[in-house]
Amino acid sequence: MSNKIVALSPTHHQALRVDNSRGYPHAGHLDTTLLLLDEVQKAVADYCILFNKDIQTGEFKLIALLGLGFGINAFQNTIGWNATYIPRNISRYPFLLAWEDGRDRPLLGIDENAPQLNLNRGHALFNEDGTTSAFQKQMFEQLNHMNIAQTATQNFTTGLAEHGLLQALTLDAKMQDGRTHSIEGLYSINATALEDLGEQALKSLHAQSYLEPLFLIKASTAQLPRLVQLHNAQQDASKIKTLEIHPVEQE
Amino acid sequence: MKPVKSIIIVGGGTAGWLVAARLAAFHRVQGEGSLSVTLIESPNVPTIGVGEGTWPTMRDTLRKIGLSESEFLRRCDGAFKQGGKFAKWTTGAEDDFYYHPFGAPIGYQKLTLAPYWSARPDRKFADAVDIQHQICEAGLAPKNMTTAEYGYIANYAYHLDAGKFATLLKEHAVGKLGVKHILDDVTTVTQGEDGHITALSRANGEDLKADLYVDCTGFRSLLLGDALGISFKPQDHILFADHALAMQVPYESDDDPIACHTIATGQEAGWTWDIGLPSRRGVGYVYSSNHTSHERAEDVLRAHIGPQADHLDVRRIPIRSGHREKFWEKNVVAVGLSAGFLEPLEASALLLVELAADMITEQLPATKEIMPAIARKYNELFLYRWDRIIDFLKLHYMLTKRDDTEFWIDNRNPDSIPDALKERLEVWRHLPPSDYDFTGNNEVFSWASYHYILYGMDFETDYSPIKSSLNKESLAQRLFAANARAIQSAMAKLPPHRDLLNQLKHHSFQSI
Repeated sequence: MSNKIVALSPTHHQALRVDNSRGYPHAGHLDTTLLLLDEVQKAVADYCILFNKDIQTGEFKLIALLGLGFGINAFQNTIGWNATYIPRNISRYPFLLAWEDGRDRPLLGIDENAPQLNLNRGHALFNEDGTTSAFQKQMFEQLNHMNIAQTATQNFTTGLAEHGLLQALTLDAKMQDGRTHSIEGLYSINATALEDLGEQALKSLHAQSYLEPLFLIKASTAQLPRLVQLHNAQQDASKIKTLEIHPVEQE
Repeated sequence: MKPVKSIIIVGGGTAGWLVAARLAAFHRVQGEGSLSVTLIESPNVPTIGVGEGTWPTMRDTLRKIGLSESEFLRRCDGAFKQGGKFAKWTTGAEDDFYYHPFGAPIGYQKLTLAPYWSARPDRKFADAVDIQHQICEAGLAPKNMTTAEYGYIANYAYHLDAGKFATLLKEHAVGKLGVKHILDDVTTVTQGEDGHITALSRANGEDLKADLYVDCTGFRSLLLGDALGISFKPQDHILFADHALAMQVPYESDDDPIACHTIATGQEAGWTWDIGLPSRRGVGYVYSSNHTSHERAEDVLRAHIGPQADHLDVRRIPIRSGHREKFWEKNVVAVGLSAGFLEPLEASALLLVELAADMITEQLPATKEIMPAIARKYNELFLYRWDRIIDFLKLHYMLTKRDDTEFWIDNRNPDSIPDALKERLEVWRHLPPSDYDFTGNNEVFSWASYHYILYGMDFETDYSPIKSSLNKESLAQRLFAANARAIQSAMAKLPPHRDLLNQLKHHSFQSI
């Protein structure tokens, strides 16, 4: 399914509704999704929170792990999204911010190919008189907040990297049919580096309110067995027998 | 007991600053029990400054010095190098080329693939056993932005601007590592009765004294050659080139691809190099003036580059293949051009500087009394290394089938080939080069490098006498198939070389 991103307009999209009652099937094949710093406290209830790198810039990104490299999102099944918290990068869909040349403020855009769009069920995009619906205003506000929160999140991940608090990991799965499967390119909190942190570094992290999310992220690896459980419950999934986390040794 | 506590390095090119930086990063240079490291360079003597290639060892060297890879690339107009592409060395035909990549042949710890490849050569040797031939032909980089600093997907080294590299090393050595810097000429070298250097006089009148002097004065070899009289042993009876012409060629557009390998192309009387840096290409011709005239050589270079060369200046540099009879004499050790020079066919110059810096740093004589023993060991080691490099460079020439000019015919003359190399080739006709051929702890080129040259150049082998040991056909086929898969898998992760270098202008590799 390809995207068709356009700016929202009452002329074209007057009658459209957004129906999320079946969850977010567009994300059915995702292994990860971006998280914002202020989501960590809620996301930790369901997700293993880790980091990966942006392919273009090499910068560390905060992510929630949704799948184990099989192209199967363990949380999205035929009924809906099986978690108590839905990451905003998922729930914002099919909306996104559209930046046009010459304008310093973005418009609200929509993916016209989204399966959630229909004429009968769900939240209306526009009121009967053609004005913007409360739902649409709420989504635009959410996206603007997300845009601002991205900077704070990037500062957080960069800060952790600069303190040497990240480490590369491999997740090694043994499948029930005997095969092995490895996932690379993920990073977590380096427990040893965290223990060895000096006073100055701790003070600095505390002053920036980074300690709480840092420890929550570290604790969230406890969600991995749950992720395996959810993955195995998916109909098309090859079943995983065991999953081990191996930190990548640094020279 | 006289401890060695002070070192003076004379000369500020890449050799001088690499040695200074390695010493100062490894030893304590300030405070109680420290080693004093000073570099004196002339404000007047220009450094050689050409576009150069390195070996993969440079990644470790930069890490040991404490330099950031991304900053190094940005500051030195740097690019990645995955090996050498040798064009027109065997037959001279348009499609005559082979790669000498930095990657080792697949499965080398389990099986030597060369004889199995020979039996059914459906593609070039390097392409059958390694991934880099295809990666380089596709113009892809050896890593992407998510690979860690100094980490790799395909093994690599660098292309860089040597002048900018020296400047970066100087800033780092002086600013961060505590090397003392003197900008002045050395006017007199004073020696004691026994020949040891007792002082260097500066133009400002001051005398400088140290326990060890490192001669990085370039071809001039002010300390080792001039003052201590260690003579130069020419090697031009083996490697004929005695001049180089150098040009800087701009790209036609900002989007032009940058080659991720050094291109060495056989010519009438030598070979041309082509080294791609982000801002320009360094192209030159290494040739023998006994086989061509300077005018003809310039014509050949210009023809090779094409119409772009029309408005470009060319620089001619005389070169002398060879090295000093020894490198460490009394309290002087020479590093870089002051130790010797060989044509840059396999980018050995900076490698030798790194190896010298390693040994001087890590085996620094603790006392003056043991310095002669260290010097003897150093000379033994480095004479061995220079000989092995000469052998390996000669190998490229002696395997040619070209007979279109005297230059190539003369290169096959047995009188121009070291005896040991001749003997080895006889063995290699039936038994591929292996670890048994390279038993020195400090070999320069591994058996794998020899494979890439021998089989890249269609060296004639006859494995029938060893048929009894060639009974691992199914493992060989699995390895060839695994290599083909590895090529696909690597290429899916690798960006175009220029794209990665563009990204590096604004972003840096993470340390993990």
